[in-house]
Amino acid sequence: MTEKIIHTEIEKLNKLYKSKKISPYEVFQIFSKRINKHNKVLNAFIDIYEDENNKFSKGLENLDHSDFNILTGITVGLKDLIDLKNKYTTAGSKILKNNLANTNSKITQDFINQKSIILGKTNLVEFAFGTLGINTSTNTCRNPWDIKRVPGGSSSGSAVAVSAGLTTFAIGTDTGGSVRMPASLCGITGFKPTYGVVSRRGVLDLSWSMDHVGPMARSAKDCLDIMSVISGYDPKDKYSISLGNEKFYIDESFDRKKIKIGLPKNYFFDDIDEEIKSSVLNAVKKLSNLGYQVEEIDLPFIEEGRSLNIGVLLPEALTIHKDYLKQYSKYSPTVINRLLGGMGITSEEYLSASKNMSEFNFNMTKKMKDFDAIISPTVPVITPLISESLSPNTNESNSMGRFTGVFNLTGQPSISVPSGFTNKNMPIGMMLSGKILDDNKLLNIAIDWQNHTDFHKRSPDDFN
Amino acid sequence: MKNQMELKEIFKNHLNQKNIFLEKKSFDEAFKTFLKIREIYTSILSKESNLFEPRQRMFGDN
Repeated sequence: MTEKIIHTEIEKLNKLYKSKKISPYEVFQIFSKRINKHNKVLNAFIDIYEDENNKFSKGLENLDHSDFNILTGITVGLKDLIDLKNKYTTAGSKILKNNLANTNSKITQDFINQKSIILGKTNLVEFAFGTLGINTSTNTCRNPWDIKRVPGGSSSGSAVAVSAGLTTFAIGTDTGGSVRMPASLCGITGFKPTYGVVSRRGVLDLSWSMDHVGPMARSAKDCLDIMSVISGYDPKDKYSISLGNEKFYIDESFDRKKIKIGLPKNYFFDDIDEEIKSSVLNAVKKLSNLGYQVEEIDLPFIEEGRSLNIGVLLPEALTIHKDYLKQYSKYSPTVINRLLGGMGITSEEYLSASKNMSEFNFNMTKKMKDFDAIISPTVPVITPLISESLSPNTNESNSMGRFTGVFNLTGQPSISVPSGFTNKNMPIGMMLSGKILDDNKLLNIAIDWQNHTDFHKRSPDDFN
Repeated sequence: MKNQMELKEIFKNHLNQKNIFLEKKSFDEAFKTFLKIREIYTSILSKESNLFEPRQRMFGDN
């Protein structure tokens, strides 16, 4: 039973709760035991609310069938950039180690309203500023598929916690790929919604132009169920937008023959690991065999995307860190060295980059008129060893976000789903990126993919 | 185009202005990133999109 429960999808758990076949308290006990057993090795959680949750989940025992919302009694880990009232939000840093939140973030409040079990805060790259998951301030968390390897970042703890079966789902943030990269490296599903669709109120900023909040779970269906709760216009978040009447749902009229997927002619398959390339191209064949229209898409402007992502992100991050930089010696070396590299960018240069960003987005919007999604690998490189990833300028750390960052710039919805494994049994992820505001369609494509594959159902041997 | 020595001085001045003093190893890593960012900006600034407002994502009916 234990093995099944840790891998059970949200909708099924909800049904089990409603039919009293298992209780939230019992499920919490299973996850809690696993956290106590595995977290010392994995470092996925950096703050755990065990005592409160013992009491809280016990209180859920008496709920009636009708009291269960979709996320009631479901366990969640929050990346430690997200405020939970009266708990510390440290951003995985020494600088904010005493930063006690005095309110809940909007999405935390959503989970509280649903009576979800917030297990604790998950580890991350310090201030979410890195791609590999290295954090010398909190201890780097480890990839459950090979604990000598990085988990990817910056939402490293969230990905590891889901992958190792320490929680049903987790929340991450994504500024250049920080939900999708660790999802890919840890063999789970990570969804970055359209910019503004999930409120960022009460979530620490890295870059106001690029930051997104998104769910990380075993399946795209779980991501859809989570999105049905956390999406929506928040008048207190100036970046928030509404999806209108569109909700997140399984589209019964979904017709593969009417879905056109773009296979990029350039950039996304250049200079990448051969195993990753082959896995994603196999996925393309499979999607085509399933009946999707797969056509090549020419994106001549795409190479500028990653530069613009970094070029806009970095000066914004430096502005946000203006006061923290007075304590520069408290930063971990990889983060401070990366951050300081952005010094001296003038306001004119930032403005030019911001205008170029708009042109880039305009070009992408025109291209997307003829396509429902673009398919690509999530990352171009194989998961590196932790021991080889401690410098801020390794090849892997510089190239890891090459594909994901493009869609932070455009704000398009983008999801990483497992598409295979390397010969060393490390997960490979593929990325599907949809039209702005077409989040539900993208999730339905990903769900359909997972209905025909089992990569997302596999779990690391040592954490089964 | 400034040479690397000049850029190193510029970078040092930026750090000094913020009262940031790094050990050599840390300085070298940060300078490497600084050079990379200057390279990125050289490519960004090689053209300017004067027809667009900054940071737009929505265009017509998308």
